[in-house]
Amino acid sequence: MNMASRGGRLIRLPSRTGGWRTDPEAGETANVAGIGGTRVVKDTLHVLLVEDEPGDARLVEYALRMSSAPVFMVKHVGTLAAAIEHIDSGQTVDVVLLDLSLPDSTGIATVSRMQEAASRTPIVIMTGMDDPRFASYALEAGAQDYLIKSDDPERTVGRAIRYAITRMAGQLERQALLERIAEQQRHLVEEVNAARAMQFDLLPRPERLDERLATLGVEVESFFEPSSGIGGDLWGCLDCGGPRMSFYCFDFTGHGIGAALNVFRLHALISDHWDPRRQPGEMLTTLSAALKGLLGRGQFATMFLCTIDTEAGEIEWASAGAPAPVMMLGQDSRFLDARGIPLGLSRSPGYREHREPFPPGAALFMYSDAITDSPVEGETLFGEGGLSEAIQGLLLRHGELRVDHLLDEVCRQVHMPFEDDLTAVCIRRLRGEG
Amino acid sequence: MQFRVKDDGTAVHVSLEGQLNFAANEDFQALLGQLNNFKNRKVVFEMSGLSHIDSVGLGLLYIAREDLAEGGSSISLVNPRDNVFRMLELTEAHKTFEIKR
Repeated sequence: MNMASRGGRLIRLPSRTGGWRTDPEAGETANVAGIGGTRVVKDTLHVLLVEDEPGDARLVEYALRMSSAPVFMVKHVGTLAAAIEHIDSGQTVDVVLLDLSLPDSTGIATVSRMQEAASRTPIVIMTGMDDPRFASYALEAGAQDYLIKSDDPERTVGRAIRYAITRMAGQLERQALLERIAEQQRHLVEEVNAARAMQFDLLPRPERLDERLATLGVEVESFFEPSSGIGGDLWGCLDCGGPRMSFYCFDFTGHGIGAALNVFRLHALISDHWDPRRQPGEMLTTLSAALKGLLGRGQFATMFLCTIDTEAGEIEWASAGAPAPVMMLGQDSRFLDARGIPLGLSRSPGYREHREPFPPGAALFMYSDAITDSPVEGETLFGEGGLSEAIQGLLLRHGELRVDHLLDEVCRQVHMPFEDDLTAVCIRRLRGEG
Repeated sequence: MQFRVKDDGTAVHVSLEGQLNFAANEDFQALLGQLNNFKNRKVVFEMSGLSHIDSVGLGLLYIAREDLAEGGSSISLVNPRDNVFRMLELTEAHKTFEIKR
């Protein structure tokens, strides 16, 4: 066969979006007044002057007429109702100068009613009272600035208007950014929730399993909780037919979205390569080789895989460095030998095949290292020692291990919340006909 | 995690202190940057100051081994505390690293 190069190749076009869009400038906020370098104080400003005292109104109008840059176009009304009508008529209003003692409205309520009518228009309060507390109250109520009527309007009114407009633009910009961040947050939460639902769908379901477990006389109690919505843990079971059933538990390095994507990879590989005739160690070797080419630098998974044969009364297992599972019979408990190179680190790792009795009454506890790696105090971790003591205590007290009892005990002793994904599964062979 | 690098002529000694976990990632990358300068050397990770290692930390050691091997250097892990040794033992790290207690 001619293997000479004929120039074929793979062309990968670069992404056009640069990934997840988090740059607020790229979104709608760029259109908000004041963002993107637009000048907020225009050359001509339309002022709505709401003042029922003709003398006060004249003084302000005179002061504004003196200004040439910007030029103020003043519309004067004497009541709040007339002001609102003017706004509603759709005419341009760049700023409202608002007296708080009007024939149809007085006090702070005047500010809120004006705001309701024109929520994006800056308001400058005009007050006869030289009381800083009242002024700050008016600002809190939504005004952008205030004027003391006794001050020289020629000196103050133009400045107050420009300041109010700039301040309003800042407020609108901030509000738009917050809305955008909240929108992105909502979007992200929705995405993670969808991914989380998919991950939970990978878990064994009672409606599919119960009939088989009932035939085998096996009870499985499980707990699964990713630490950040989705995570790098999973457990599952594989029906070998007849009196045999396999169970596994794996845990990828790290947690969060990256680890969760790896979970889907390994779950798919298990489905592809699963063969009930193969021994657990062989299966782990195959999975490790398949993962080796897929995982990023420093990534791997620890995994425990066992097959229970209720007819032979045996369990066979192999481990790729998983946290050592606990074997229980009566009130005795001990850690299984779980040594083995984690999956994905080696292309052809060998795994020891183990086999031992698993009679009715025996139970096996598989878990992720969130339990043993949880801090008890200072730098001390719960560890295998803590787990062993907790299990011994529960076996003495209840005669068997229930996962919820164990988790209660762990939660009592370690600093919560768990910082890693948590999986805990107990497989029991029931005494009786099974 | 903190680290110190010392070259005594025969070997490059790296003392690790604290916890080798996800939080150590940035410091560890800085360490790898420094180790990049050494070619064809024996690099000894002194681990007695390491109080804890988790799966991410173990992954970092594998990355270090890979990077050092590219520069012709070998890596050995010495004096791990009991719990750190337990993690190395559980994951059969001795098949990849030279481990001395």
